[in-house]
Amino acid sequence: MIHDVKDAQAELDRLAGGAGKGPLSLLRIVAWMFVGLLLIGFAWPVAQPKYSDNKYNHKILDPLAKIVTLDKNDTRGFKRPNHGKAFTIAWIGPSTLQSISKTSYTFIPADVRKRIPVIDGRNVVVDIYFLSGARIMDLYAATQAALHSRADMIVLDLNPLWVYNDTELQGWSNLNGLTASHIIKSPSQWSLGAQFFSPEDVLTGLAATKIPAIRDRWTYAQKVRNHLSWFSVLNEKTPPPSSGPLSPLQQVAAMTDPLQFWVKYRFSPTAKNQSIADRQLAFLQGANLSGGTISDDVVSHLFGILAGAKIPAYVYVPPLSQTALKDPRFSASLAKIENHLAAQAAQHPGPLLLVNSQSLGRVLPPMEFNDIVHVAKDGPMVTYLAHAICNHLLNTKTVQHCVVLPPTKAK
Amino acid sequence: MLQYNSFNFFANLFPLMLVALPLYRFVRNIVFRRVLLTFVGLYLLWLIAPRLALFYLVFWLLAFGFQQLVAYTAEKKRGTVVFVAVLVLLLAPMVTWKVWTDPFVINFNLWSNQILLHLVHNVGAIDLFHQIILPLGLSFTTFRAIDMVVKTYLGEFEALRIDEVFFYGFFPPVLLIGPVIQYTDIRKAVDPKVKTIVWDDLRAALLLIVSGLVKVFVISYPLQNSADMFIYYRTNSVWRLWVELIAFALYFFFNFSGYSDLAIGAAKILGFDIQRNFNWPYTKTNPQDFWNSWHMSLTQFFQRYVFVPFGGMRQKTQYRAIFLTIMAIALWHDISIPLVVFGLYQAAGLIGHRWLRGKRPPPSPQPRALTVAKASGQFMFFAFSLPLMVISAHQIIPVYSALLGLQ
Repeated sequence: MIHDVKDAQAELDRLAGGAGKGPLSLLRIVAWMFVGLLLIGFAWPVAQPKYSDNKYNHKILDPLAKIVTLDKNDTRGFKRPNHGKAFTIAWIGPSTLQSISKTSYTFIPADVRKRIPVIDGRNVVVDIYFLSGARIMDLYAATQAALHSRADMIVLDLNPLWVYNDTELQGWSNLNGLTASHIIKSPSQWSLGAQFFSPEDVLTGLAATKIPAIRDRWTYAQKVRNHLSWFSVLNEKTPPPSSGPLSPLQQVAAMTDPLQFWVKYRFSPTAKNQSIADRQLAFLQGANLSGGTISDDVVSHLFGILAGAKIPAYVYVPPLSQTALKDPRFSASLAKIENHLAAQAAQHPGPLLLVNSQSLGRVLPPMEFNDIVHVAKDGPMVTYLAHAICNHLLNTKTVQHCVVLPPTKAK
Repeated sequence: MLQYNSFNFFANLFPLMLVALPLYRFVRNIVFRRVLLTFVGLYLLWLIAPRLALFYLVFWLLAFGFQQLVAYTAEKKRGTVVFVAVLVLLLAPMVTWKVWTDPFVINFNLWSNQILLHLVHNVGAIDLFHQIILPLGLSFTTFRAIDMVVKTYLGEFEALRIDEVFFYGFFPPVLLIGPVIQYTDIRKAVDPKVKTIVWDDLRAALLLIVSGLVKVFVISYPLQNSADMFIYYRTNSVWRLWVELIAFALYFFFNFSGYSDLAIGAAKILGFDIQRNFNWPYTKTNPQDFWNSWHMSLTQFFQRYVFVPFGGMRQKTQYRAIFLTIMAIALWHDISIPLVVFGLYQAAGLIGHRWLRGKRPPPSPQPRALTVAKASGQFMFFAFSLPLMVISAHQIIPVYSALLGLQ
């Protein structure tokens, strides 16, 4: 019987003639491991992710505007479609990309595409990098992914509630490996990577670019997980009765996001009866504009890569509800964020980059909102953004023809 | 939240080794090596959450101070009082965690993050997006610190320098899931004059790591759903529950022993020989042999500090020592009613076996069939107590009623 590693070594000597005894032998083992991983990728290839895998795509009827974001645990991050000769806009943003009312659920980028169906004679396609609950580092990761895709233009939505709020800087850590592989050739970005990525992220991110089995590991894991019931004889069809209220720690264990913990234990004891508007005001006022923060660093890198990109980029701040803006507390907090954003944008001028640091709520006519930042009817915003995008493309002489169609009347 | 996947720890440790190993191997300076490994350990904790790194930094700074105090007062009049006070202080965080789990875990996260935010705001901000954690590895850390202080008090070695304490405290492979090591296990191997890493070390490390990965992913992973029996026990028949209980016992062993292999293998890459933590416990034929081969580093720790001091080596007091040792092992997992029952059950097995062996020594050699039967009996004896390590007090009666077909 093998009791310890010495016994195992003796057994290995007997069976494999002393494999791993010298540096060359170890190298051969590592090489065979790579070959094995490559073979797995060829023998059991993973099907390309489908648009329908993302539940939000069911809300978008337009086949030329689709969300490319994959599952929040999928380390591949985004679907990478090839749209051929179409003019591709990569539109990145958090929940503020949605427009939800009682009668409709749409995405602003899809509605904008309807207004600009053609640019320079090419069909317009929008890849929507929609990241629910995205924080500033997630937007950076998505921007890197978009810059490494075949996009012709980047549009970025910076939610003012979160852009400088360092209560949560990242929510989509599954993008780390992908982003690490994108910044590996840009030493100026490494300082950011060092703050957010682990050695595992870097190693698997780089390996994923060459080895399909590592790139698709989440899908393989899902497949294996789906078959785990083979190893169990338990009947799990009948759910157990509820075992009463959860303890405080069980409640923490059930949380899906660290922010829920900090909000519950750090902020709520003093403000248990807060309305949504109060909470959102708290997040707006929580913006850390003291300078030298990590949010500043990420925004600076974000503007830096967009300014250095060879494709046009348009950055905007989605509207805050005009009702909220009448409250001087909202207006003043937002103004500080806008000024800080403008100052940072000024440090990264780029011939093809336009940063509109003023919240659209200040220039648009009154709109219907679900809270202070999520629109219910996006009509005026769509018109504004469609014109802004066309104007930016024409002003930078990136395209010759870009015409915004009038809105179609709702049936 | 609160569920940390131990594999992530090793998935970060091994790439770090790629960087640290050449430095460790070629810079033949003992202090440099200690500092290098300390930073690797601290960084691994930081990757889990910066607040965990801060917590252990403070813990080991205090442990260093306590050890100096114990060394200074060992020969003095109040030396014993100081020694006992230091032990109590070192045990305090772990005991508080076990007794007042909910407030401890919540406040541990809140306070340590608050301190980070005040000390270096940006570090606190990075900490905020890391998951909420249990004080991972605290038991193993506490045992290492106690071992260090006791040996200093007994004069087995002189008070350690700060670099030695940190090297011991942040020794990377064992930070999270043990095994429990002693300073003497790693003291010599870090010295380039004493130990040179050879290909045999790397080969042995590779074997251990492969063994660990196979145990964790090939054997135990497919069995992980067996833990669902503690949720669905009311709606499943007796035979299904017993099949799942056996699967859970196998999952429990292979998962734990697999991670131990990964830890020992990681240490071996750097030339450290850490003794194995499991010695095929499910093949043992009686409770005593079982506990001597199950989580051996922990059992030996309690043998040193509970069993021997309470008279385990003396005829008259051996049963008391056995009882106290197994209760300490049980309550280390959690201070709760199910674990008290677990301790009582295992103590009954150990004491009963010792008593029977005293009355009627086993035949030697035993027939193979008898050995197999005894090992199976011992396995079932242990497996039957495993639910107690998972369930809460109000589940004890319904779970065991279901297992015994009494519901």
